[in-house]
Amino acid sequence: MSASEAAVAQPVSTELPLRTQPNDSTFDIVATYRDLLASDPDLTKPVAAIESLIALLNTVPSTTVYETLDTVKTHSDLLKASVENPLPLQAGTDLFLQYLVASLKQQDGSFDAVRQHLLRNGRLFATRAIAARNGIAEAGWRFVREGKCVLTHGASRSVTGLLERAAKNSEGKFRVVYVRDEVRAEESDRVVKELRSKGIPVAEIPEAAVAHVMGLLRQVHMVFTGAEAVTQNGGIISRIGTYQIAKLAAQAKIPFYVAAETHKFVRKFPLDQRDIGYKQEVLDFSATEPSKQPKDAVDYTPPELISNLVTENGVHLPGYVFEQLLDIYGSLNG
Amino acid sequence: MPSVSTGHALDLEKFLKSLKGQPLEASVNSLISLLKRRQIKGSEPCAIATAHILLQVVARSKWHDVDSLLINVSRTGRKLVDAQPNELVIGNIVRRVLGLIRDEASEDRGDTADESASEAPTPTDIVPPTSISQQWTTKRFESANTAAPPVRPPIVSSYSSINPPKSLFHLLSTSPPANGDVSPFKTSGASTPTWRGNSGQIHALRSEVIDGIEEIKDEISQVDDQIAASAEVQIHPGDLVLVHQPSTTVERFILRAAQKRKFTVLIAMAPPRRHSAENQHATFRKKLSAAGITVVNVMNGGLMAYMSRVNKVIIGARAIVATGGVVADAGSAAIARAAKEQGTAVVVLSGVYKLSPESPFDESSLIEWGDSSTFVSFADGPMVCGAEIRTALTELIPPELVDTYITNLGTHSRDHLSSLISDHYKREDADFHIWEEALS
Repeated sequence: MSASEAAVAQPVSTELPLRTQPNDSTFDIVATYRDLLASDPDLTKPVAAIESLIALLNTVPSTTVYETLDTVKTHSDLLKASVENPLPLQAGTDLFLQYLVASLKQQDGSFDAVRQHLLRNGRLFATRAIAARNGIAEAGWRFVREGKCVLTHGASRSVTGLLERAAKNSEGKFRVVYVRDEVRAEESDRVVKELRSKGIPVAEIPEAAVAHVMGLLRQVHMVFTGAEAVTQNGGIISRIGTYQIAKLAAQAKIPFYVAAETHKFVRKFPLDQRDIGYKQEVLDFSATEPSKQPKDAVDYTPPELISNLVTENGVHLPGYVFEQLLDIYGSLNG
Repeated sequence: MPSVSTGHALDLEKFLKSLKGQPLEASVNSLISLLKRRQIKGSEPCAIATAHILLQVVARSKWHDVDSLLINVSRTGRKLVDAQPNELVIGNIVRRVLGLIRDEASEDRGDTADESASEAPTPTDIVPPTSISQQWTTKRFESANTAAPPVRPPIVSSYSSINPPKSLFHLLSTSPPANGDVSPFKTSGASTPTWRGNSGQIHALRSEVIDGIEEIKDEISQVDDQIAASAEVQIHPGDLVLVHQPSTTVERFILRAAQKRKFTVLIAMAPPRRHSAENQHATFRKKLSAAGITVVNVMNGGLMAYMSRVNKVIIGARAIVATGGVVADAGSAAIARAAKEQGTAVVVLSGVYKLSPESPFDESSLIEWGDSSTFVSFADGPMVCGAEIRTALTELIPPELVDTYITNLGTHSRDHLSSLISDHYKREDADFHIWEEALS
């Protein structure tokens, strides 16, 4: 306990401390997390969180099981508190903690073995997570057949990966409608450029044109989006604008597919838009000044609007999330 | 169409009889041509024929270890699937048999698992299993593009290292059971054993697999009975039940309910075709009236008019895809939609063997197009050359229109289908036909 409290008090060191500093309380999990995300553009938030926790285990000496679990918990909370939207991180930290608990139960306390496994294979988990993205592409590219037209927005790497995989098979034979986000013009340019470099014909449209474009009969055949986190009811927390696209797609009876890795599944049951797990002020009323918009705003898309989840384990109905979470957590009281 | 279906039954019987006298290759080829010519059609005959031919493959083809057996079975399976890609059941049965072989083989392997585990590589050598399969599949597709000869690359290495990532823990789990700390959730024993078995082991495996295939055959033959067992729960006295071109499964279901209950059956039929209109479902009607059930034939498409009075719509599936969409006789989707509109329950009857792990990536590929001569014949000279006439025999009912699925294992909701699929098929077999698609 004292170690973790001290860590709260003085987050100084930004580099990975070595094991030669036992009982060192200067481990800064937030900085580690940010470094990891910055250093590897392929890393997703949940996996970066897991990697940070492994780095944490590396610094604290192996004491008792309880103390270790406690340290992990405290640092998870610390990490979640440090970011605006804690849900993606929660997916990672919960999974890690549950894995620890489950392994320890099984091992009759051979705690060191579990620890050693985690410490040694830190990089392996990251590679696996990236392999999961390729798995999504493999599982879902067949949706994108010749002559189809896919509408997408945001910059999900799973979605671009899937489209690139499809392009490998039928280059130039399907088309993409990309919904531009003018607030993030740079990012939109990058994604569009990336897709075009793979020989995919892309039409860029502003967000305001989505309903019109979907109303052009048989011009858009499906919508693909990524997700920040997949909630336990099968809904998604994703870049703001996803919800309205999903609604419009449902209205136009266009299938709405979500490409997300299973490590983004999180124990959270949002009831509506107000309940996305943290405070997000989209409404900023002012009589004088221009309204402020939150950075990285998200919205919640309920499972009724989602046709299928495309995960590395195959194509599933939204109910799949619930089954998987129940399978490892045993209960769903986050 | 009873006369037609008996004709097909004859073809199937003839084929099954011919199995004994013929060499294996000839039987496979004759089945392929029977499938191509639609002389064996419908899910049940196709499933039975597939099970029989795979039994022959296991019993008579040359194989000296598990991998070569898997190769033999999947190679034959792919030929059959290619011959009639509309019949999803063929692929289902092949997957079942492949899974069966894997199960039996891993049981046989027993202790050897630990030995292979002890010589597990050092952590630096550990490659995530998914990435292996990934490299492997992409490699296969690349080779497909360069028109490589259709020889399967050795599946041994890749298969034996695939550990189907099932649980969310896959991300963190030990991939090969390295250094002794095994994750509790690791699905062990799912990989293909690597033993080069001696003849005794092979003999045992052969007979076990054959037993397993016999079980699958039994299952197929009992499906209708087992489904009919839930008839009394579903149909209540006084109900008005609508069936569409009842298949034998649906007929058995209704007849079973008729033993105990009094209700009314509406039979929706295909619009009257030339020549054979009056005969449709005559025997079924006779049996029903013998049981004291009122039967009403509905001959036109105006089912919406009846729907407000109907309590239940019962549809026999030809196949069910992973998302819950149902491949059924053409016309069913309109009925299901009409039922949904009025809030009438739509019940789909199907054996578990018809449940396919495939997602309908391309709906149009599931639809079977029939011959249009029932509508236009050469007597209508100008029509024959002047108009294009298509008739769809099957269509896909969107999953949101179906309320309940009844299989031989019980009554299921749409969300439950995925667990049925994972119970019956192994993940590594799910795509066996697609490799072929890439190669051809």
